[in-house]
Amino acid sequence: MNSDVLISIRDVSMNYGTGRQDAIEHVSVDIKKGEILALVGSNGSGKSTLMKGMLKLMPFTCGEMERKSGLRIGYMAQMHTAVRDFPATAREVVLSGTRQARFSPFYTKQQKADAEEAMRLMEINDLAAQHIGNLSGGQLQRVLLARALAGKPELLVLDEPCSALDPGTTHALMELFTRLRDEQGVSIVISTHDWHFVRHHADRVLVLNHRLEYVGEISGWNGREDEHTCHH
Amino acid sequence: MPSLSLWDILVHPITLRAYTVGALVSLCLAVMGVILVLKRYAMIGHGLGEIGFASTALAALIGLYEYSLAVSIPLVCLSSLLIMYFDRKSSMGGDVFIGIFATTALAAGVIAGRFTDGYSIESSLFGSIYGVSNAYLIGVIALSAAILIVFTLLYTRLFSVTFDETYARAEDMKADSYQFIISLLTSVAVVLGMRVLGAMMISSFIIFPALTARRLSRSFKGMIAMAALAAFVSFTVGMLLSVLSQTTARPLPVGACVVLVSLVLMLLSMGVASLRSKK
Repeated sequence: MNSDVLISIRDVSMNYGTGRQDAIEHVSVDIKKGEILALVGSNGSGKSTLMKGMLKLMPFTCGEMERKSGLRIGYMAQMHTAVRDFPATAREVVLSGTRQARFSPFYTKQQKADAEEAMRLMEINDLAAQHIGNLSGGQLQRVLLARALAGKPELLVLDEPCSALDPGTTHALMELFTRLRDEQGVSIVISTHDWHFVRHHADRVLVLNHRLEYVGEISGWNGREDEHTCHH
Repeated sequence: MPSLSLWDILVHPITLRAYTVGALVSLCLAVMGVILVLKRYAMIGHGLGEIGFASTALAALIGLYEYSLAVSIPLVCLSSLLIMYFDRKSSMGGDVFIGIFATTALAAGVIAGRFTDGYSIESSLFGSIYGVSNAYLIGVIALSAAILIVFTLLYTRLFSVTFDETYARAEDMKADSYQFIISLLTSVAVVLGMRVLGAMMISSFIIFPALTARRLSRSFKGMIAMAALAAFVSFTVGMLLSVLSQTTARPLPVGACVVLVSLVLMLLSMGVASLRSKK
């Protein structure tokens, strides 16, 4: 595998149980170092499924994947897998995303610093001691994003990270993603319905409709933008 | 102990040994209970208690009652791994397998108990302050310490796996191995507690402290500390009630007394929590 490639997926299909229609069929794509790859497609087109495959949360029914060994990934799921009434503070959640170094009841100084830094980027330092159940949807989303950032990932996999955010916050986040790519070389795979983001910030776009319709630079996409979007 | 004064009973080696065992094991079960309750897997404790009962009865049947820990721990650990394995392989859900294992074990244990002279099925099921030898006490102290040390060392990882298993998997944490560790630690704690607390009562030592703590805690760390405190208070008060009853015509089993005290504590915590939320 080319050293500039973090994940290489070749001709993979996935489904939710035998006999069901494949959620994705014969998709191939390379995730390159330092790129923002936008996944677009209507709801149910297989974007989340493809992400789960990359993260090894769901098996491929055929095809293969190569991942850079020891690849550090930060993930944010679309449907929060976290339980809201779980007794945890925002800080505890963000800390859980830091790189686990040693076996200890305490987080290291480095882990605490990484968590603080991630909370600062997400502007949630003042929420750190709050119980997650007291947070609004948008605040919780920022906490979960901070968790994904806290492990200093090489690759961020974000499933519609802005769905619960207001336009102002969304805009700030998009700027942040671009900065993470430019300054730290972080790769970002992001599913979105926001073509404005795709056009202005993404390096490449992957259009999915169970099958791969297109992957490449946005300028090469001839299809209509709105037929693959679902406006909220 | 009808001829002894109350003080004599309280400081009697039998009482002190039972208290030490019960308090340590309550603590272990309470901290494991936080994880099991939050993962919605608390009923495993009930199943393991009944499997533990069967294994103790088996140990008594083959003349190894004094070494029942050595017989029960491997058997209960193995059963919990099997339950977990079938739970993952099948689409029916873990509670079905807990049910199958637990009732089979209960039936086998009762039958094995009937064939063993001098073996009290009732005290096995509901707990007794008698029957803690020095060797047993040392075994419990060593193993409880081991459980608490492993739990402490894995604390940050246990939080990750309990809070969001999907995320832990996505980060390439070996979530399955932590599940196994949780099962094994719980199995050992359940076995350690059976003799004093009672096989049928064990699951409440897992569930009640966690529920008491949950409503009052806003952090994971706080919930663990609160559950440990709740377990300690419930056990101490329950044990005291049981000891006091030993001089009467109707001595009460420890496990049952502690469970009722735990329930009161849980109801109190619910009251406090709802008052707090109205403010």
